[in-house]
Amino acid sequence: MTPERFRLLIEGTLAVWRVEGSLSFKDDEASCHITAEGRDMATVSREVQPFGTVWRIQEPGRRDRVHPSVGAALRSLREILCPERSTGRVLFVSEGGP
Amino acid sequence: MSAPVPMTVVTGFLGSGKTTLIANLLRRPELSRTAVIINEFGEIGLDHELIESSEEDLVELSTGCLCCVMRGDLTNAVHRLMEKRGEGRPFERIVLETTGLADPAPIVHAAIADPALRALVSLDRVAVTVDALTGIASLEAHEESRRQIALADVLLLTKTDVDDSGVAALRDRIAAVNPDADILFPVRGEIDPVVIIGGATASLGGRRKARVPDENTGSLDHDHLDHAHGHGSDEITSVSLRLDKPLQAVALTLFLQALAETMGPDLLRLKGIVEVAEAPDTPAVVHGVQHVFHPMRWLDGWPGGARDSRLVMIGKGLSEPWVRALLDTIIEEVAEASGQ
Repeated sequence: MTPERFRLLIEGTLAVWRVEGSLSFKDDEASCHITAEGRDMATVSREVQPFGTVWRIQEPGRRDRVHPSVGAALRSLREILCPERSTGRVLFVSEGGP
Repeated sequence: MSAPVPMTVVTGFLGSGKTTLIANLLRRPELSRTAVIINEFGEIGLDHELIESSEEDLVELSTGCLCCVMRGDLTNAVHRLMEKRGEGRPFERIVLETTGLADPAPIVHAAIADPALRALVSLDRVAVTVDALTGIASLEAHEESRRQIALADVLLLTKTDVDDSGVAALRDRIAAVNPDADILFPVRGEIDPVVIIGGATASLGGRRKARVPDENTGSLDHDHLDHAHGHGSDEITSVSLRLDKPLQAVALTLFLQALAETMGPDLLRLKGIVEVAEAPDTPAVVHGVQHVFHPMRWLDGWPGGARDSRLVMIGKGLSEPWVRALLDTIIEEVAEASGQ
């Protein structure tokens, strides 16, 4: 995960969610601090741990959330930034009958 | 239980020629055994008067816009038709005409996801009429028009015989919303019935030949062939993503899940043909409307022999860099988890 790809991922996700905020990226790391509605909302970072690469979501006043995948990390971030937003859950349906 | 009857959804903005199209199609011998469901908005229906069809094979829904009151009404209408079919009025196909204000997504959803409806009908394709004279204005002003075009398998540009001066601009505008749909030009509703009864175009029903999303690839000479069209995050945009390496099946599934979950109802459609690492010679065909997907179908080989793996997504706020970043991240995570 390059810092550039991390930036594209976070910026694009907030655009999809129409979250208007300020993003502060660290130059050489996959890390971003998000402020919105005039307050600190969260810090998202991807970091290497001895057991593998993880996503860390830090929300002021709460324990850090650590996730093993980008999907889980974005879900966690959405709950902080736009909890009212509808989500989708992939449903595979067979054809031609129940 | 008999096999589900193929159903074509005909939609299009107000006054774009849906009824004229259907009326002409029903005169064709190929479609003589077709039942019609017409959804009219408002208390006084008119469209059904304009379509010459045996009353027994026509059901009018005038309780409101079908996409709003969807499943129950549509299921009941199909049931009524099926009862008549059982009474000796056989038909081989259903054409559903929506109101001009309908969002076809809930209808398509119901047809592929509602167990009661799926037992009765199989969705064949979504045909959308677009008025060549007013189409751009409708696209600019009305979300419904954009959503109709986004969901189309085939687009029928009407009234080009009246004035075709705006067709090029309209095609460009349509391509920005749905670059993958076929575009045809009926004149006063006259069109080859193949647009209704199937043949060259694939859609969500899954019985047709797989169609590779092969438009919107004008820049074949650069690395990724990725394109996005649109005008801001509130716009419906399309992204075509070419995959230069096979995807592990789990990565593809995780990508679909992440995309559907992150975008929610803003993901309108996803389709593609994908080289899956576990079965590279039998490409997987992926079709989804919003978060509802058909199980992947596996083709016997690559269409035309070219191993050309790609995904096309249509939705609100999509951007190619974001989609690419999401997919690449998932590929990387799967590779790490599997020790590659």
